[in-house]
Amino acid sequence: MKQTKIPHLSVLLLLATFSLFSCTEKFDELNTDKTKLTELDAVGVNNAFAAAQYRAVQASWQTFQSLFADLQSQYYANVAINFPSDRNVMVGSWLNGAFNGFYSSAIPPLLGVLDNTKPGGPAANPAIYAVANIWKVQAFLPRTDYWGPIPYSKVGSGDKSIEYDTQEAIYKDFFAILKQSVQNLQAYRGQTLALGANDQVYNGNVDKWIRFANSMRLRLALRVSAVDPALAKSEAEAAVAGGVLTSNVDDALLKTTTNSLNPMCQATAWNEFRMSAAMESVLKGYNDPRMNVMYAPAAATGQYKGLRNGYSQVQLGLTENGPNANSNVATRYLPDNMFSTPFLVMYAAESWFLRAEGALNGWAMGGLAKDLYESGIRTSMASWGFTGAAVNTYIAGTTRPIALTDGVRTPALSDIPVRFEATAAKQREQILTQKWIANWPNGHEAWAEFRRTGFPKLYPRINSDEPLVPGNSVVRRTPYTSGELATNPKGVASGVTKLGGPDNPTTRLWWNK
Amino acid sequence: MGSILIGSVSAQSTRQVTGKVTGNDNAPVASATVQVKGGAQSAMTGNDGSFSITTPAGATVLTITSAGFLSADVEVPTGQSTVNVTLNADNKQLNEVVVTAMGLSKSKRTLSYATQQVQTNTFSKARELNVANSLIGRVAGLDVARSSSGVGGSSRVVLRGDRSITGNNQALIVIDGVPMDNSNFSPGNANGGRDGGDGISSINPDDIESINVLRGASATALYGARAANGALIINTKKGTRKGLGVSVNSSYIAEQAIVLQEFQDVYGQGSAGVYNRASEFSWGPKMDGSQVAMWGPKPSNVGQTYSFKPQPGTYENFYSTGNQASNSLAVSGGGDRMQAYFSYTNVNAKGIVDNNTMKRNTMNLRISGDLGSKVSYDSKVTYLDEVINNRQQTGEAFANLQRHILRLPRNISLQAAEDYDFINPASGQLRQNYWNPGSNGGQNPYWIKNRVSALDKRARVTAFGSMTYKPLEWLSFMGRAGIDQYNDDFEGKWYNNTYTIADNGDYQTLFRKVREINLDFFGFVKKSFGDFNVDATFGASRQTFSSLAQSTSTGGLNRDNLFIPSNARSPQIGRSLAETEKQGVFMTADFSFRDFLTLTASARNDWSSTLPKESRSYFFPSAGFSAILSNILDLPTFISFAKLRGNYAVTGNDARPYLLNQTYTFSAGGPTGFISRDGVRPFPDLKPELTTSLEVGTEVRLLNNRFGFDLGWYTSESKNQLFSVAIPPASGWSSQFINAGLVRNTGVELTMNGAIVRNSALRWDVDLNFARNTNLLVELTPDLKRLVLAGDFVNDVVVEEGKPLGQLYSRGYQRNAQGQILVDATGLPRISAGKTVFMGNSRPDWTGGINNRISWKSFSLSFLISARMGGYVSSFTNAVIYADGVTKKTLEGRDSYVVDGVRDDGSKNTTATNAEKFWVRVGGRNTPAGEVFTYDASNIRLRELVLSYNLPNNVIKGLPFQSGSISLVGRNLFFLLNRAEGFDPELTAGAQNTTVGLESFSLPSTRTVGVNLNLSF
Repeated sequence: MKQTKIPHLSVLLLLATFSLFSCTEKFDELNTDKTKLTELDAVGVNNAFAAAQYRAVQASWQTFQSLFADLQSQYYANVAINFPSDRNVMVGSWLNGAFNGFYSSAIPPLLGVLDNTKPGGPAANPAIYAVANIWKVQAFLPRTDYWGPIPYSKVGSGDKSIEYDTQEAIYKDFFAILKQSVQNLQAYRGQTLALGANDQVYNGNVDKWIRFANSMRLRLALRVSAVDPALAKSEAEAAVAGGVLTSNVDDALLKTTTNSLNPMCQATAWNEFRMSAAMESVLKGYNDPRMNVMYAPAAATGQYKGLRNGYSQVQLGLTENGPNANSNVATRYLPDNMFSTPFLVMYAAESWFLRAEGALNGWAMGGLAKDLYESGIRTSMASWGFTGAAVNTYIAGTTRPIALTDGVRTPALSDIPVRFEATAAKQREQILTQKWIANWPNGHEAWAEFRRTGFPKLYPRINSDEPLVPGNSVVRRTPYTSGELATNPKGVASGVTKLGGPDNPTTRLWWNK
Repeated sequence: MGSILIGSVSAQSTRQVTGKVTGNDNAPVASATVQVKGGAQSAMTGNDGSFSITTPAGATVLTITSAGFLSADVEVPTGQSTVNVTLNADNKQLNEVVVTAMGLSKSKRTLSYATQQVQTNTFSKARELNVANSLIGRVAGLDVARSSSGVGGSSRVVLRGDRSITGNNQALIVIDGVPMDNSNFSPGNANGGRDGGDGISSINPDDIESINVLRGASATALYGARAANGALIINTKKGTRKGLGVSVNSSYIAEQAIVLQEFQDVYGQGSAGVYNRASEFSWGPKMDGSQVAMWGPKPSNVGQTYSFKPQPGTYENFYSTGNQASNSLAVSGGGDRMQAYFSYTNVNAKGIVDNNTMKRNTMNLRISGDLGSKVSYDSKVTYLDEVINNRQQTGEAFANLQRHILRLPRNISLQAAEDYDFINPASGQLRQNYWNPGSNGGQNPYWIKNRVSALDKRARVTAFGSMTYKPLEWLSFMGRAGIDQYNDDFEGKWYNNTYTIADNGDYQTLFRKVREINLDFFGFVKKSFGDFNVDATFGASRQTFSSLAQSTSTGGLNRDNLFIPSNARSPQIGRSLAETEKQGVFMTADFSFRDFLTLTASARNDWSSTLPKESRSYFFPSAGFSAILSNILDLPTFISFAKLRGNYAVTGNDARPYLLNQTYTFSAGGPTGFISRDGVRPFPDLKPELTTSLEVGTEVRLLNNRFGFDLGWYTSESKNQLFSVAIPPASGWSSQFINAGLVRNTGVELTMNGAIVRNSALRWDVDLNFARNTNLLVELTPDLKRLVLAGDFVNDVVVEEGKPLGQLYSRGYQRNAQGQILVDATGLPRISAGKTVFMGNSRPDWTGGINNRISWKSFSLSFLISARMGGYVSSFTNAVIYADGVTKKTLEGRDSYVVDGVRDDGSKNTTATNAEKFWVRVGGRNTPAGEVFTYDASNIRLRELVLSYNLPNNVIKGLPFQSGSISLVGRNLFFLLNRAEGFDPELTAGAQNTTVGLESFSLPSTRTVGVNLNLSF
């Protein structure tokens, strides 16, 4: 290489380097994330519907349902030594996760479907819009039944502060939505929605959605039956007239897949809960065949065993209160089946029990309370695969819940048998106790109905670490969350005002007044 | 590593050389060191400046050094036996050259901002796997927090306090003028995780020539945004013009756990004093040696009994002695036209958890030279290959081994626990053998150690090439291209029956490719106009960055323990991307008048791809001065040098990519997938952040430069900060970015050095540094005064207006108006429901260090004491293991214990409880009262000790090398002060802003002791 040429080479190199400093035209493209979508199109609405449907039931399942409603309803008792929520401690971080999980994961796709399919929306579709609205009721119901007033009508506004709605307004909007949606779906009777399998509950079957919506309307009607008897009666009668779920083939069960698993099955891996003493007393007392398909024998003893709710941390350290000494759930709810066991949304049996209670109230429910009650038991048994003589025997059963052999000498839960009793008071307890069994594992409904009716007669908690709610008292609601207090203080303040009582677990909800 | 000329060896015998050393004022120089160049022989001048030295065969050059004077090499031709030497006053020291922004060399005396050159000569002897840890205690204002993930862990390096509320606060790392990516893609956090390692841990200490710390934003205005947190300017070794040098450096270092936690050896497994073979607690009966039921589901254990007796020392005995063997070979040499330096370093390390290992190979080739008088070039390629096994999980993670060994019930021996698995005879499956099968949170520590594994591999190439063209004496141009690219490959295996986190096993992989390319063009102007000098640089730069990661996980394995991605129950595939580009033009100029005064001005404009079009371009200037008072004023003679400096700078910072537009995520789920709008609200009006800083300082040297100090004061304000705030999720989004906030840091920094003793036998030099930073969040947002940045089981990390960043809040005792603890009807203290009790601030009040360097004949000794004073740290570990009943403190009140407190009615509590109930109330995993487990984080420790022996000539004679030294080294030897109980407050849950104040199931702190051999051929 001759030296004289080198400077020229060097200058060329420098110029070449400099020419790489191009302008900034490519910046917009560069600043676009290629692993994401930039818009929600008409096809994407189906995927958004699927996400909204799944997440409304799955979102924060453990900290929402498992650690509160499932324990408060005494479907299970806690065995995780350091978990205090079974002693009525409303653990703030868990409730915070439950609240935020719902609004941040289930609401955005639901809003996406509603905004796109609404009349005049970019992918307007009255039928999908109606089904998405029915699902909206399903999604918000357990949330308002936890907290009372919650963000509802202002959801998705993008505002810095989101005002809470009264529970009365929310329930009344639920009724309006269900009525309107059922009306809108009439034109599509017999059809299958374009959602197809993206509707993981009913595969787009419009007729089933109509029955589901009416059953939901009936459920809500019973809920408000104390606070607004006239509204309750008219809504309930309209719902039954419109046709509710009657057969277990219409059970609303959300299908799971390898990538949208059953959160309950997943949680059973963690050994946090076992069969409650209440369940043991009732299921054993009635020789209920469902016990074997709901629960499993305890690992250590091979016996079905439940434990009381509210043991202290030290008591939970004792062998007899450990997870191995008590009944876990049955195989279908174990982690091995989390990709196949569907997640319960609503059993058809529930509608029969709702109608039975309505009939006791004197409403036109299309049958006598006794028949409706027995149809409820039959439908529930059918959902679990039990039919025929065994079911007849059960319905005629005169055995009663049993006392337990445990360290705290637990008495029988109640003295009612399965066979329909003569007095309305006993009948009401029977209907609600059987509904409690039939609705398992829907802890949300079980807790809400227990708060409303006091049935079944659940056991007092062994201990309470919440001075406001002693063990023999009932948690009436969950307090507002730290995340909301930090990010939406004005919203929380509006909620407390509308709650009509202090923001603590003793304040009764609107329908529970 | 020294090197000497090969070929200068001749067959002469030794000779005696005598002479006298004087200064340029003709006064004799006492205590000057006279050394045979490249050899081990040395002598010291007497009070009259005279010396006598024996020189080996062929040695013809003596090196004379003395504090306050320029060192001098004198040729003593063969046959000559006397030589007189005149030393010039130490203009070299005063003219110390430092490398500043963009790799520009500057004379330190003209700098208008604070820098500190780091003593790096012990870095390759008393080695740390992460060079960042070698900096602790040596640099004023530098704070390092280490993650506790063992071999391969990362460190958080912060200069002059935290500036950014939620963003990166770490110093920029620049190697040979080219920035290095120091991303930590998975910093551990309080709730558990596995530290993914950082960039600075990839630096090989053997190749470091110098490290210069630029503390402020002003020093680095030319780097733009990334240097707003200061910078570590690292220069690596180059070849020399003087023939071939070969050097070998070998170290063997042993690492040992420092066990600070105290355990009890009285009570064993169980609750309420009752033995329970399945218990995870040590609240059972006294361990009296009686026979009790054997634990575990292993068939051969069932029905067996064993002796219920204490097993002292299980914690310390679980850990073994780690070690680190490193060997490096460096060859340097060259001629006038081309110089080369090549090094190869191999490090084999094993942590105190013996399957936590690292193998690291580093190869480095540097070639520089010139092509004629006007063109020169420089180039370097470094290749690093690193394999790390079982980097330890941190924090609350159920696969964090430390968690399980700390919780081990006190009656279970390591030997028994080591029987950690078995084959279930019914199913043929491999199962875990643990006292509480299926536990939610508990595991057999040996199962976690052996049945949960992690393998991290990294291959990294950093390279640059530059060419300089100097057409005129006062003008030159340089073009430079630098690349830093690395691929990470992670593989994690969880065997079936790893309770609750992988009951069906799991296999996860992650592949990541990160690339940063920097292209720079510079022009340099250096010209004098009489008494005026101009030294100016202008140029342009373009930086492109991309990071692509692809991950898989199985969500459980179909076939047991077959670790293949397709053996997935619920396959999950993730892909993430970040691409950015930044372009900039800049100029900086120093205008000097004689030797007195320098004025500096710089300006930069950046264009960033992550900002919206309207604010994509942003400009930031700086200005400063330095005045050499000792050249301007007639100062007393004991002041050798005095300088004043001042600087004002503005730095802009851009954002992370993809914040401007709404995005939707498609994820697997349902029959055809889920689509959901992302929860981060788009921020189309994003603006760049702005940091302004002002600093002044003075540097003084006294008594012929024998003593000196540098004192600086600074203040910086970072505003318009870009950070994410949680918004009501019912709004439709969960968080949004905002431009707001104002964080002010004010502080002082002091470095001092002095030659304490200097006589013919002994030299003792002391370097001292001290820094105090006051951090204040002046404003958060107009309508937000408090923001919870992160929450863990113990603390909320909170920023509040009017308070420093890093405030810790937790649960605490409920107290009455008199401050007395309220006790409930059961005699237990009431604990606040929420994390509402202030614990303290996690950042230190001040940091400092004293380094002593003592040499006596052929021995030299250096030791470094470092202090990090103030600040608070909470221990999640203690919260859990106190409630488990394993610590010594839980012995008190086992039978009965009356809490010192009052009832709600104000009367004194007399209701007895016991230790179990008490510790379960205040501790435990879910709602611990941080007040009980928060400690003063102040600590002082003997950070480093190096004792070296330079092989004398009569030992070397006949051996095939020219010089050699052998050193004994130790690091982190012991605490002089540690107020934390049972742990090292320096080991944090992760290398993040929000984990500084939390210890969470960390590995025990370790001390290292080793030996180093250094030979030059």
